[in-house]
Amino acid sequence: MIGTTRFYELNSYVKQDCYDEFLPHPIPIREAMLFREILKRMPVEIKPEDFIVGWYGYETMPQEFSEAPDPKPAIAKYIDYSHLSRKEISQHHRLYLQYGLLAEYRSGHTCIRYGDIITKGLGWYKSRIEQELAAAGKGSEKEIYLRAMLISLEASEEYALRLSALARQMADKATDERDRARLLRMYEANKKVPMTPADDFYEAIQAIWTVHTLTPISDNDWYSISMGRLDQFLYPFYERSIAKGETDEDIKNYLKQIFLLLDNYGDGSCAINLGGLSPDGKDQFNKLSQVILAAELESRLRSPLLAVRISQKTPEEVLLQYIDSRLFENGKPAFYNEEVCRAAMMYRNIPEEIAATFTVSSCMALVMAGEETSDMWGCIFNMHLPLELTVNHGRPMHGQLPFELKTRPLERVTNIDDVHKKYGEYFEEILRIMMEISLKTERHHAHNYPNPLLSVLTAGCIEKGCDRMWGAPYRTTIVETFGLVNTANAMTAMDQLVFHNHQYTLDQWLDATRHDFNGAQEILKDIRGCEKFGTNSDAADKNVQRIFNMVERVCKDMYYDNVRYLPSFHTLDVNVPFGEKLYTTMDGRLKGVAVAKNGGPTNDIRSADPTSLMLSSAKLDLYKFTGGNPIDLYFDKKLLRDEETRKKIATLFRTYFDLGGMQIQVNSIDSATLKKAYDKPEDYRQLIVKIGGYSMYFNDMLDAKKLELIERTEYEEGVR
Amino acid sequence: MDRSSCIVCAACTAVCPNGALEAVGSLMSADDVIAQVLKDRPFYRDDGGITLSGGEPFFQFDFLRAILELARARSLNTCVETSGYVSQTRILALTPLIDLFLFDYKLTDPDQHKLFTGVSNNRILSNLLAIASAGAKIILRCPVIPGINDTPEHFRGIGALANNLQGIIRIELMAYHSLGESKARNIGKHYSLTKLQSATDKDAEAWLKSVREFTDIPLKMG
Repeated sequence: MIGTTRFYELNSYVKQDCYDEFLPHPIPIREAMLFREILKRMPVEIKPEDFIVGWYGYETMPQEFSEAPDPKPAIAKYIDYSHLSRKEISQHHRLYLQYGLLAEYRSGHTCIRYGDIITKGLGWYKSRIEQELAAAGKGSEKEIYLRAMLISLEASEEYALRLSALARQMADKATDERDRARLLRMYEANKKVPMTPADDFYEAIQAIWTVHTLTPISDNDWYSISMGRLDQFLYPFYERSIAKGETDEDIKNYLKQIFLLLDNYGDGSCAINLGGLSPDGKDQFNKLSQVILAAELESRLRSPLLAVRISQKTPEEVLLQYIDSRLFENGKPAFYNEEVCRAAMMYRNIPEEIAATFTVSSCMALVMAGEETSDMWGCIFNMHLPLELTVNHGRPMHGQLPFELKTRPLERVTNIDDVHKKYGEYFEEILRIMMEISLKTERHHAHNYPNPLLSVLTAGCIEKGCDRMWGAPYRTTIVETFGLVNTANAMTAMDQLVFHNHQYTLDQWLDATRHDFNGAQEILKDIRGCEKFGTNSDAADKNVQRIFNMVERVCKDMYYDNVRYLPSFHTLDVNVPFGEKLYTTMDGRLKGVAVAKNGGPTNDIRSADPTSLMLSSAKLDLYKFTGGNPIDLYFDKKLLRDEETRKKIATLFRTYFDLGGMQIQVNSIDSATLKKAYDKPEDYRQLIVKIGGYSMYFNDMLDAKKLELIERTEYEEGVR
Repeated sequence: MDRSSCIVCAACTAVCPNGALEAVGSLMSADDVIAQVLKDRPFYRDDGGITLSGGEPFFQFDFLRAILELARARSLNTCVETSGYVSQTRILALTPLIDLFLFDYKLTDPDQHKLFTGVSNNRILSNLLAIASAGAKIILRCPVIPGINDTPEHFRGIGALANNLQGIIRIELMAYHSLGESKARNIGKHYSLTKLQSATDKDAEAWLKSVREFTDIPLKMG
């Protein structure tokens, strides 16, 4: 995200320059004014091949911005720490470093409702604000926030007119007639949108991109700004453009430019949904879905992430189209089970007809677009810690927790049922402490960095005249359960080796774990020889189920008002850095090794083939982990070239979904994967490569043969 | 490790401190096998089932028969991979229980066959004919090794078999790769073809083209 790095510099520079001037104003108005100032100063650009005006703050960044000093010391004095003290902030960071517990509001991961913007225009929001303002008490918090909202909309309008003026300027200088026509079209469109409704696909997509620019700028965070159900809300506009004489080729070219922009300004989690079901159960894959897919197959960039929604009604030929090496090589698409996702939304106590309109956002979340303030990384929970407290007399394995716990430790630990019960008590108590911390960080963030623009675009906030942190119909915090599978595996081993066979005592086990199993090879071997999740072992899977069921019940019991805590298996790739910082765990995972990724197995086993993994996973009521449940599958690219095999993969996915699976993330094995596996075989124990008609574990190959395969793969990819 | 003294008791794998030794395989009854297979039943739908390979499955005849009978009883489709160098009585006895054969065909010329495999191809061809006459469905699996059997004569032989025998539904060419050297090393065996390079995609394309000249039967790289 080179562009956004430069953007942070711009942001810093403007803040340094304007803070003193804007400081006397109430904070929401200050933030709106800063937003307007950034938009005024931000360099914008139209490249020769562009249809949509969209480049900003990129190569055209002036020298003064890149030399701007870090603003943190200068503006730190303006931050109000009354909701969260500096001492508390550093305590929380220490808590994460020492114990893997993090509760901190994180912005980004936004998905607004573009459908309303393109059909009604931002002017519709403006008139609603003006209406509310007329009735609001002068000087009240509501009145202040509404004024801030107005400023942010004015800023947005001014920005669109800048884009229009630039296009006009360039059109006036254009010597080529086609260029001139193209630029004049941009000029006209940006005069209109996004303030007024769009008339056709071109205007609609320009409106979407402009607002998609404004969203992360207002939030100062570019992570996973998703576009949602593009093929649904843009469909009427697509039909209009086709009726006016434009072609699928034209539409595809507009989309390709959007993808290029998304790839430059976003990360690999800007999700666009394809297909799914209507509330009354009809398949929604349409002609525009097909064009979006065609644009993706020609673009093949990291972003956007295609989130394909598969239901019982998805035609086989549509599903087969998604199983394509050109998509898999970029880790796309993410496959979602429509029916299970709908069940997850309903499990959040959302009525079915509303739940059915959900959107897939980011790399794994389900949201109500435009109605939800989603704190996707709001809580990272080290699932191993409650186990330590359970078997170590209420104490962590290392050091001392910075807070007192009320849960009484077990005097004697003699069976796995008691372990689970006490584990649940510790988990709940610590989660409640974390969520109180989280609430403080939300208050701190909302107070110091309110977002009037995003609040305009979140349902209900105009009427309430408040920030979306409080005003959104749904406020969700995802509880990321890191190391859940590692912990369950430890319990499975404990049940066998301690409680049944009496081979070891818990004290011996704890001691060995504290010392990274140095001098304790025997116990390590025995632990590793026990059953593990992901191999379709009932004994191992049962412990995951028990923890899973406990976590989802605790999270659901904590719902209040519009707040929902959503448990999730999701780790992204953070299971690696998390594991790097984490001490040795009782499942035999050594210090510094990655914890289990997403809803998958730990790295140390190799018998977790796809069907075994799916069968293990499907024993869980996955829809109850409403924050997301991906499993990761790797496919050799050569498999994806064969029609018969692609059909088998489609069957594999359908079966997993029939069994209740929620999400599948795919990867194809390319030379980059093989090189990583060569360098770090311990992270790729399950990697299987296909050679001729023969498959073998990559780790079983001689080094020379591995290098040969890497060389051949590079040759086939055309990189050698 | 002295492999000549090994009695395959696997005791060494339990005591190896670094876990460097692994026993590949375990003792299982036919019921154990089917129980394992049935765990993946949801994924089989209508077409899926069990593929038995080896080594040579027919060398464990009773075990093979037991598994096939249990599979039949559970309505699982069955597929057996064989070199064809087995007793004809035995292969015919089990043919009614086998929905699909993956049948190896290595070399057409009998002398070359004897030279490179150590045995004649008479029995193999006779078995192929016999099972085809008994109504078996067969995929002919043809390993192609550059410099050894990538010859027009052998490709013609493949084509002729496919054309003349009812029951051959497809030909699969298996391109030689040198990655078996890893496996050989792992089990303490000498690998004699270290100088031979793995086949490339270009080689594969040329072979497919050659075989295509002799037959229209569906053909692909395996």
